Order: sequence, then structure tokens, then C-alpha cells
Amino acid sequence: MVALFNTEHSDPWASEFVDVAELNAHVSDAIASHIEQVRTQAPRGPDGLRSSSLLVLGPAGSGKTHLFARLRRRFGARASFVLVRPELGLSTTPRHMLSAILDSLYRRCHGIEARQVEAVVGALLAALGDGDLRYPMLHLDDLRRAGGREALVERVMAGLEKRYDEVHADYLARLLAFPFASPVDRRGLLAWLSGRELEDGQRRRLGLPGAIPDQDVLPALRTLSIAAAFGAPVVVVFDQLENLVGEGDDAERVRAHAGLVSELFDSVRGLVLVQMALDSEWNGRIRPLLSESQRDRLEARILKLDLPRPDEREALLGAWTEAIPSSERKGYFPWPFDEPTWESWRTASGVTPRALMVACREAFEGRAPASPGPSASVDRDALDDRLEAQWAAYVRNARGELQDAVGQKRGLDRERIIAALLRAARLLGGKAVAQSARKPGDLVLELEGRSAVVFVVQQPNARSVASSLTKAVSAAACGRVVLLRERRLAFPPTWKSIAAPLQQLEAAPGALWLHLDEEQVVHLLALHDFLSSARSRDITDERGAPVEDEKVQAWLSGRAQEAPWAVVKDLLAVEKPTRREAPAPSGRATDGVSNPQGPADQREVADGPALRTLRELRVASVERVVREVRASHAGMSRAAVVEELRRSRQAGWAGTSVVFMRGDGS
Amino acid sequence: MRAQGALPAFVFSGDDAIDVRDAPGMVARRVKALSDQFDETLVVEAERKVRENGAMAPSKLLPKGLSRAGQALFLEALGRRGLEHTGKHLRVPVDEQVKARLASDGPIPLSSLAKRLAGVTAVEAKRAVTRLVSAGSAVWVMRDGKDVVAPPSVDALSSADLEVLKQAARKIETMLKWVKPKKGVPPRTLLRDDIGNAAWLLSAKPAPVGARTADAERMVLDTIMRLADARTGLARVPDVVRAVGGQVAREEAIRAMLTLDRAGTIELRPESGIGLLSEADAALCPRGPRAVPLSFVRVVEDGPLQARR
Repeated sequence: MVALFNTEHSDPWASEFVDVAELNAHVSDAIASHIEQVRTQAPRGPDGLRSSSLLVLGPAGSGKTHLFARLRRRFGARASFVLVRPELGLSTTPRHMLSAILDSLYRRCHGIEARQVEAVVGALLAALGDGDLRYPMLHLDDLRRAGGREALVERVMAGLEKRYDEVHADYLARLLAFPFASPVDRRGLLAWLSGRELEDGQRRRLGLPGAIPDQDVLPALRTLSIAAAFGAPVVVVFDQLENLVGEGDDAERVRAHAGLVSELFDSVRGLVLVQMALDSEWNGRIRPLLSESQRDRLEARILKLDLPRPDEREALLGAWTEAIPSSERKGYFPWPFDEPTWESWRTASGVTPRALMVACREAFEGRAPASPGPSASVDRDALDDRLEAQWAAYVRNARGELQDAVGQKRGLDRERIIAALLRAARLLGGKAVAQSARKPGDLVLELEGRSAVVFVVQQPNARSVASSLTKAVSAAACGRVVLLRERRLAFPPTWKSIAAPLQQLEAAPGALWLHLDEEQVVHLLALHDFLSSARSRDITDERGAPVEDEKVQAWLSGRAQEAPWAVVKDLLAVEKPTRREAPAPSGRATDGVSNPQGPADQREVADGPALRTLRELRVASVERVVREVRASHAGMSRAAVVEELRRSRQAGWAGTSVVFMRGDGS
Repeated sequence: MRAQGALPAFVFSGDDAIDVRDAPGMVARRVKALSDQFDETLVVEAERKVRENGAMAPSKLLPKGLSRAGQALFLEALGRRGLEHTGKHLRVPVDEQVKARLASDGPIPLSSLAKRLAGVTAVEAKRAVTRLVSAGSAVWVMRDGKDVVAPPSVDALSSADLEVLKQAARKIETMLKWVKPKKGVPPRTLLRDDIGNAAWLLSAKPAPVGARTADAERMVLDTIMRLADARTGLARVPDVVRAVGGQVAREEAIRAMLTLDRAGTIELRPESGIGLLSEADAALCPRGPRAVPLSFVRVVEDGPLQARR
């Protein structure tokens, strides 16, 4: 199987991909011209520098995400690309925007090792200092080696403030310091620049009072955007906007999003705001909820993604097959199609690039017929396997996201976990609502007749944690309260200030502390993103057709019994242990249902077919176990078997192919 | 560290750039900053030149003193005026050129068509002809075994005519078999009138079979343009089918849309919404790959229809 034909879902951050530049060139050129305009206008001062807003509409599979990757490759370090996808069930706030922008700026520029944030600073210093704007990274390297950097930074700050009144001096100073900071300070600076809270140690080291206060978040966004405009303008791409709707509170979330984009458009200079949505969803659900003024801003310029014309389809097929090693090619154009089949695809109506790629895959695999006619109904087992494979990819991505956070020595964003919990609870038939800022807690869950207020305690410093715990103590007097924190974020013993509220929580009968294991966090994030993609029609069956949202939800619900994300049930079902070990500040809290070593551990996998088979075999290759299991459970996929074995602590692994039963297996 | 003597090409001073290259003793020369503004009359003039010549290199059209962004905007402005930018050329759209050439020269052999157009390759010319023929703006005829493209006004046989011709040819072939020489039989012949009767259908021009279809296409196209959203340019296919319902049958309307789509005049787009298309509406939509309903439609900006305007 040629891997190329399996990439029908674009990776926005891919470094290598096949592109036919002529396809939808009008859209990429239009965005590119806005980026160039920002770069041109930035040195001229506030009169010329404005933000621009573009709306890109297209059907599923028409290349919206691909467009992002294409622009990244086209601009390299000359623009900073930010990808924002709405969290299901939560509204995007300016602080969330700031963290999303910095998270993206921390990614590497296309084709070079440098990070986007370094390119922003390098270009600014080059533009307002004495560097060459074409080589910002070279300029940065020179400055790292040479002395007198402080004077240049002062000069640049003065120059920028002279041109733009709205620059937030503190934010700019720390932004300019970022590329020159030590790795330890970089982590702290990145957290602060992104509007997140800092660990106590970082705060003291950097001499900062705490996170950026709410009133300074917009000025920080303005400063960042202006600073970037000189050499690497910030292009904020809102993808999968259809996820703003479909959660029951559509109008509120759509208006909140529109309000935020309008605010950015009006009050932040130098941003290129690109919104991408399915045309049907935009016209049918989002647009009717917008006010006239919001429409004027969000639809300032509408760009439609065209479907490939016959000649462009030829170019696509040519480019794809060109990318395949000649040893794997088995013919000339239109291979892997035969002439009549290709002609039918070349001239058929409504063909998206994704549909064409899936057809290529089918033709390559020799599955007949590959013509664009109605598809035979997809075999249920095949669909399950296909969903399983896509789910595995989302789990991998979520694991990568978690690893990034581990690398930066910070917890995952609370909002990510809250959004995932909301989605998981609703999938299980419960009611889940994000709590408003005035009320205690982050969300309220109702499931199977029980309810609880949930606090996601991910803060990195004692003061913020203590504040949350105090609120939880008050809330516990009125009903059940559940506190969640990633297990790896153990409270340091030095956090004396949280001891008292923790003891109070310990004593409160309605309060329960749970730690989220890595697997649970990863699967919760994967669940959220998987459902988002299903809504965006990006979960597809083996014929490339989008799988209906309800089918995806039903498939996930069917696996809820043993899925790590189903921890949400435990938030309401698990009773408080009569004697529990305090979760902190020992640093190694071991209580909670999710703790593999803990006394209240109820998350051990129930004896499934895979485990039963392994108990009989004792030691076997994974393939053998899969074979044995499928002999008795034909519907069970390989991935499900492996998943069950992986999640069981009774199963040990020797490498990745051999599995054995630990102890006596009882 | 930058090598000694390697100085930046420009330093900024206010709105101007100062060129310091090869500057002995660092004496700066003030050069005029490039602008990204241009007068609309320059665009009109450039368009006139392109339309006069058929195609021109962008470098010959761009006004002096424009920045890169200004150049891009200038070319974009020309694009908005209906010119095509191919990278090498700015040109009058190929379809438009082909139609103009057919109107002035009459039938043209396909092999020499590209030579009569400006900035167009042979492959592009052939594709344009395919589009125009599908849209009914040109006809593709065979003369002396060679491909020839002709304006729609020529007296060419329709597909119905060709069918009649085939029947007549078969009839005449049969008649010729009757008069084959036979041993012991004197030479035989045919009556001129009988031959005339066999071919009479050719002289009596049948009514064009596609007339009704053409009417349906025109009506559907007008309705799409009328119903298209002013901002997005998209119209819902079920709305279009219902709007023409009084005059065009559902199947005919769907067929007309598919024909227009293949001709590149409109673009049918697959449904992407979740639960937005009712079953009744889906039944009014043509089907795309894997039977996906094509529920949205737009008129192609650079399609044959716009090129005609």
C-alpha cells in the first residue's frame, strides 16, 4: 500500500506533502496578498496597518486544511501561522486566543529548525534595528553571539512604541527576550506570554507577579500582532467552525466567536484572520445567527474553494503518482486507473480532491469498481476497522499533545480537559454544562440521576490551586464536588498553603479527589478531537464517504464500557473511600479511582476475551492472540485486542510483538 | 557574525529606504520608496493593451515604482477584470479568444488553432474547444479526416442528422447490393428517384433535438443566478429545481445542471452539512461520487458564461 494514498486527511503542520499549486490558487493568492500587505504597511505606522478578515468556504474534502499547509510552505519564516479549532461546548476567549497563538508560534517554521516566535522577534529586530529583513534568523544568531543586544532591544522597543501607542511595553520586552533566554526561562516566558499561569519558581525567577491579568490580555494580543507584522505577520486560521454548533447552546457560542473575531478585527492591528468552514454549515447554521455588523466583519471577503476541474484532476493524479517511487509504479498515466474509469472520474460532477484520492487508493488496491457511481454499502466490520484505525491516529495525536506539554513541564490546558469531559458526559447520555465564571467549579455533570460540580485543578502554582480548593470546600457544603488533576502534576511538598483546604476537603463528605492517568487524559483529548472531526465530516469510511455523526457517536458509545475516557462515569459513581490518603502535598497522591496502584482502583480492565486467551496461552505473539480471539469473537478487531492487552496490568510485553501473563494470572 | 564589510542593502529612515550599497565612506543615497498604490486608469489601460494583443507578459504591463505587494494587487485587479494570469502571460481567457477567432475566421483546423491564439498552448486550446463544444458555443466537425472547430452558426449536422445520414447510408448500401453483377444476369441499375427518396431526410432538416434541452439549461442557469446568495454566490439546488418546476420537469432540470456542470458553466458542490438536507430536498439533487447529493451550485466565475459577458 502506498502511504500517499492514505493521506486524504491533511496534516496542517506537515512538512512534506503533494501540492498542485494551481488548484484554488485564487484563495492562497488572496490570503498571501493580505499577508504581504501587512508586511508592507507595518513600518508605515498605525494609519495603514489594519487587520483583515477572510472567510473560506468549501465542502468537506475540498482542501481547507491543505490550504493551511500550502501557505506555511509558501511563506516559511515570513509569516506566523496559527491554527485554532473551537473547543466543543466552550466559547473561545481572548486569553484562549493568546495561548492558542503562542502554542502555534512555538511550532517550527516550515522547512527550518527555528520556531515561529523566534522568526517574529528576529524579523522585528532586523526591521527596526540594522539587520536584513530577509534573514531574520541569521540576524538573531548574530545577536546571540555579539554583545550590545540590550541597547538594540531598547532601541527597537522605543522605535515600536513611537510608531504604535498601543504597544504593551512589558509584554514586548519579554517577547523580545524570549529567543535569548535560557531553556528554563524560556518555559516560564512562554507560559507567561501565552497568558497561562506560572509555577512559583518560574514566577520568582522571572520577577513576575503572576499571569497576565485579564485587562492586559487584549493589549498583549495587540502588541504581539504589531511586533509580528514587520516580518512575520500572524495569520490566525480558525478551522472546523462547524463545531461551534450542535451542542445545544449554538447561538451563544457562535455569537461569542463572532464577537471575538470582530473584536480582533477592530482593535488588533496586523492580523490576517482566516475562517474556514463547511459551506453548508456556514450558510445553514452559523450565518443566520450573526448580526449584520458581525456579518460585515466575518464575511468581509468570502473565498470559495473550487472543486478541481478536469484538467486540475489530471494534474492532481499526475502529482500524486509522481510522488510514488518508480519501483512501486506499475504503469503510466492514468495509472492506477484504467482509461475508461479515469475518464469517468475526470468528468464526474462534484468530485473533491479527497474523493479523488480515495478513488486512487481503491484503484491502486485493485478494488473494483473504482468508478464514481453509487458505492456498495460499507461492510459493518470494515467500517468498525476503519473507525478503529482512525481512532488510533487520534489517540496518537493526543499522546503527542500530551508529550508536548510534558516537554514544556506544564499541565494540559484546563479548557481542553473541560471540553473533553463535557463531550464524554454528553456521549454517555448525561447532561453537562460549562459553569459560568460567577459560579464555583468548571462544569456541572448530571448522569444517571446524580450530579456533581467538577473542578479541574490544573494550575501550576500553590496560590491558584489553593484558591480553587477553597471554592471547592464551599461548594462541597451544598452538594457533591469532584476535583480532577493530572496524576503527573504532583503537588510539591513546599506548597504549604494548600494543606488546610485539602484537609477540609478530606473531611467534607461530598468532596472527592480523582487523578487522571495519562491514558485517561489521552483518550479524553482523542475523544474530543475525534468527535470534532466527525462533525466536520472528516471521519470517513473506506470509500472516503463521511461517516454520519450519529454512527461515530454510536461506535464510541459501544466502546464506553472499557474505554479510558469513560472515567467521566466515575466522577459521579464512585463513592468516597472511608479512609483516603491525602493527595497532597505529599507529591505522590495514590488515591482515586484512576490510580493503578491505589486501593480504590476500579479501572482495571474486566476480563475480556483477549485476556482470557492470554491466560490460557501464558506467552504468545500478539498475532497468535489475535488469531485465537477472532476464532471465537469474529467481530473483534486486532486493534481492540491490542488495546485490551495494553490496558491490562496483568499482561506484560516483551517488545511490541510478544505478550505474556504476569504472575499467576489470577 | 556578519563578515566585515557586508552591509545591509537598505536602511530605513522614516518612510524612505536609504541605499548604502557600495557606498564609499558610508555616504547614503536616498532612493524613492516603492509604493503599493496605483491609479485605476492604469489598470484600464493595461486591460486594453491585453485585449488588443490577446496576451502580454506581466512585466510589460506593470507600472514603474510599484512594490511587490503593489504589483500583486495590480495583477489581481486585472484578474478581476476577467483576464487570466498564467505565470508567463496575462491573457484574454482562452474560451473568449477561441470564440472571437471562430467568429472572424470561420472553421479552423484544430491542429493550427493554438497558433492563431495568443499565449495559449495547444493543450489549452484543445481543452477550451472541448468546453465550448459541450456548452454549445462551438462545433467540432471532421473535414477530409481532420479535426476542425467551427462557430455554432455553421450548417453542421446535429446528432439526429447524423443518425438519419447513417440510415440513409445503410439504405443506399442495401440498394447497391441489389445491383451487384450476377452471373447470367445483364447489368442492373437504380432509379434516380429511389436514391432521392432514401436521402430525402437529409434535405428536410429535422427540428433540433436539443432545442428543449437548451431551453431547460438556460432557464436553470437564470434561476441559479437569481437565487444565488449575493455574498457567497451559492444557491441551493433543491430551491433551483423547485423554482423551475412549473416549466421544467425535475429530471430535465437535474440533467440540465449536470450538463452545465460538465461544460464548466456551473459547479455542483456536495452536501457537507449534518442533518441540513431533508430527504425531500435530497431527492431533488443530482448525485456525485458515491451517490453524495450535490446540494449547492454556483456559477463559475471564469466559466464560459462569464467569458461571454
